[in-house]
Amino acid sequence: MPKFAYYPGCSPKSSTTESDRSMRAVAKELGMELIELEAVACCGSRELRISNPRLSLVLNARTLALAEKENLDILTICNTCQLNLQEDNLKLINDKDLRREVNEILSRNDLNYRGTAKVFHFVWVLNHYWSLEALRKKVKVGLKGLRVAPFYGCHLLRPYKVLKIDNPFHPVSMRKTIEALGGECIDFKASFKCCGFHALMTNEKLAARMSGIFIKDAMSQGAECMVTPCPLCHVALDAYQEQAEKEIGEKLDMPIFHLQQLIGLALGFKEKELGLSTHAVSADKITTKIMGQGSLTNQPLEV
Amino acid sequence: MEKVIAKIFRFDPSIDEKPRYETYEVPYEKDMRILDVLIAVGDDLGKGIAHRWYCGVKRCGACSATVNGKPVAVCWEPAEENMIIEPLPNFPIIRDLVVDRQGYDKVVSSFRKFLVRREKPRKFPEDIRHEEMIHVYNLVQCTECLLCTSVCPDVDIDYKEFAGPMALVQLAKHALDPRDTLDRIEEIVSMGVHNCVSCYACVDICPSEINPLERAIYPLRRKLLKARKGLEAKHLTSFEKMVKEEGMITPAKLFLKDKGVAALLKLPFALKMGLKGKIPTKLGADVPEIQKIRDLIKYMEEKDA
Repeated sequence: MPKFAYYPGCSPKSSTTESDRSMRAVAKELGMELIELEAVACCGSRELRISNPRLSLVLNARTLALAEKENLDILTICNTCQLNLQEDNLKLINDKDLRREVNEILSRNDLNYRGTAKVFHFVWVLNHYWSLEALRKKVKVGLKGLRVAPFYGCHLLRPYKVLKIDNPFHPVSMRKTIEALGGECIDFKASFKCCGFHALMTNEKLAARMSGIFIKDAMSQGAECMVTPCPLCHVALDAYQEQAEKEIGEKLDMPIFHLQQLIGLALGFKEKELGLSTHAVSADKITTKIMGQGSLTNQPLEV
Repeated sequence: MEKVIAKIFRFDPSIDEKPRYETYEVPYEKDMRILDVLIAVGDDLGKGIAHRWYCGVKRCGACSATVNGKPVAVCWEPAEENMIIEPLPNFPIIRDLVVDRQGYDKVVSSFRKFLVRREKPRKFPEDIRHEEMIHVYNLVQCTECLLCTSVCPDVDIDYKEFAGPMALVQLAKHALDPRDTLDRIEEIVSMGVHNCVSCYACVDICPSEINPLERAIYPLRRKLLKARKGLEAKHLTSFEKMVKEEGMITPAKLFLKDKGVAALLKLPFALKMGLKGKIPTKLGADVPEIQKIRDLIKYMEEKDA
């Protein structure tokens, strides 16, 4: 059974608890053991990386050291956490002097980082570490006929030099995952653009306009719902959708799923177990459609 | 590969009602670049496609175009068998592949593109430490090819809210130079640096590998934070403070700290989110062994002092 040091990050622990809840449910079903890293700090998001990059590095080194102590690799469900942890991990692995310097600070907590932990995003785990074939076999309620638009989010793809998870100009990992669940993947131009989250606190209008334009793009290509592997994108696309509608002057009403929620639906979980009721935009029309296909249960998918 | 099939965007706003695509075939030659294909279509097939180029060696920044969906410097990329060649996104079109740079030029001409020194250097060559010049050294490699601005999701056609990565690289080249003594805070604020969404699109696309985000935009934002100017200084400060005190961020609490009384305006939104269970009942993180994190931070601060 694959075992990971689970690092949900600030957002899933507070404002998008449903992404954490659904991740735990899905992991159990998929046979992944998650040991949560509880006594850890924030990855630094963008803010700490601007205001105090050194502190951000030390805190991430601490997180990596705690995972290494347990002899585990880290699993993230947030793009920004993935980027920050992975980037700092690479710095620490490639620069012995820096590692020594950081370890001197970590020794205050009786910790030492040797540079052996790896950081994986859930999407990466599905596509490479575990397998989509294994996921496909677990699907109980296929998403056949459901037109899903994937929204990758920036920090899963860029900077490519650091992440190397997927091609930033022609990403495929989400497409493959959606298709493994039996859904129809909708291509749209804004699929790998930015949701605007990191400008939300300082310029809500700008961020809402960006997400509004992108949701509209997905709609125009015939998407019934969108799915994202990042809780921050979820906040920008779902919680702020009403503002986005105001900004672009159009009704959107687009249900947005966390990736693990969409997988959960295909694995047969109930809405409550996946926390769908916490979304600002109701996902009822999608769940009704999927549940209506209950007859597909346990039948092989035509993928 | 025997031939190259290029589907090229054609549009002359002065006579055409709407853009069209025309497909051309040219024989493939060894080591052919995309630029060579465009030249062959113009010279050998006699098709008057409008496109810019001067140096042909990735130094002048003139030849940028979108090829198969990705903006590139066409002089530096190999030709492929099938290509769709279009102008750069995010810019008005003058004709075919030629885009209007005027908006960008206007932004760049709005700030002082020279260094001002108070005193003469003590000796020549001057002693400047590598770490002082590390950003600038990198930024002078910019060829102003427009690629970063073409992929920036933030840039409007009028550059009002955000000047875009390329203009900020030009500004940073001067503002971060240790020899410069001008107060450039107002210039930085007017470029809307806080509106950057940190999407790294400019980083991945840059043919000169400049990293506009971490070499130009973040250092400029640090300059504003240090001067306590701009819209995000308060936000950045409360974020750091919250990490230092609580370890983790509680977005709702951060929002309250950021907005202060103005948060009342967002009461309906807060209520809606509260009803949906998006706002935790306890406003604050509950990180076990938080004292250890605090000790670590305290130790770092004492060391720095």
